[in-house]
Amino acid sequence: MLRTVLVVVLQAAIVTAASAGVAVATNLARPDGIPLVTDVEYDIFAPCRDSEADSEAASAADLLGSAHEVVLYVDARPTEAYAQEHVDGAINIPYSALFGASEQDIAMIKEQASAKKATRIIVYGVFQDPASPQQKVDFAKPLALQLVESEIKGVKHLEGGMEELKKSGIKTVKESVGAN
Amino acid sequence: MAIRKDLIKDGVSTAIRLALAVTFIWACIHKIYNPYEFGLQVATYQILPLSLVNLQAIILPWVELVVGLLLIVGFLTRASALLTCGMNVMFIVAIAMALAADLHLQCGCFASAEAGEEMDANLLVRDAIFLVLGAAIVYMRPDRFTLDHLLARRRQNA
Repeated sequence: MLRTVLVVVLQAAIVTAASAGVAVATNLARPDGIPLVTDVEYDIFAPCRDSEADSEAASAADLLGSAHEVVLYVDARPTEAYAQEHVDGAINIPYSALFGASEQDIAMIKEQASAKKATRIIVYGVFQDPASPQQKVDFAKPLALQLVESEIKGVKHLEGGMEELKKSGIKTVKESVGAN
Repeated sequence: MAIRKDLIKDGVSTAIRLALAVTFIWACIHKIYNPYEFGLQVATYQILPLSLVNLQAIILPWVELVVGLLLIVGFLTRASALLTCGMNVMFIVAIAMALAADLHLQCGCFASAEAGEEMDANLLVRDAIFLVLGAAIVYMRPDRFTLDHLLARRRQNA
């Protein structure tokens, strides 16, 4: 019985390998073949919700706030990117492109905004994967949109990554200690 | 009586085998002809890292084709059916994840991009049925209308 199972699994592996070989060879031979590995992101469009809510892009003035304005910064990038460098005092809510932010994350943002008496929430998070430098993913806008849909006031998202933030003169720190 | 029972069993097995074969071959044609379009559909699921999207888009349709052809002739029948099960599990997981994330996608299973059909939970039921059919073929001995059966008989007679 076990032998039969092993033989079937081995045959399945051989069929897969042979098919893969034919597939790759055919793809290489055809004029409209695609690269085996691409680092150019597909222009995907996957609408998530039927919502008319929208998030406003933050201006340079919004980033720093004013004397009467307390700003809560939300970093939507993965934890590793946040640990490398983030805005001083920013909280990290790693945004999942598939599942969005959790209810606990939304609740935490509400709690932090309330505790800090923040009147503006700036979400930033253009993530550049070190393994694929050409691939940039914007987590800021979808997270900001989710916050707007959760009826959180004063939410804006930053278009651009850490470089854009630094240009505004905002203070960044390179360790996550005490910020989250 | 036993002969009649065997004949019915083989008939059912053949019908399932051919149904699976036709489905997989039909599913792969559009994907093989339009690798970029299929790559786009794979990417839209947002499950695989970008570096694996094209490999998946290139290889999967050919596995579907080879498995379909093997099922038709009945060669390596159980292994081919096992592969249909593996692919169906993969499809079910991908569709379930996309539905859980409330992504409004076309499934990319057949030439549905042209049909403009948006996927829903019915697809999970359909793929689950294919999974059960594939598992049945893996479980049963290759029927008398397969090349596997013919080769086994030749080996016995030799």
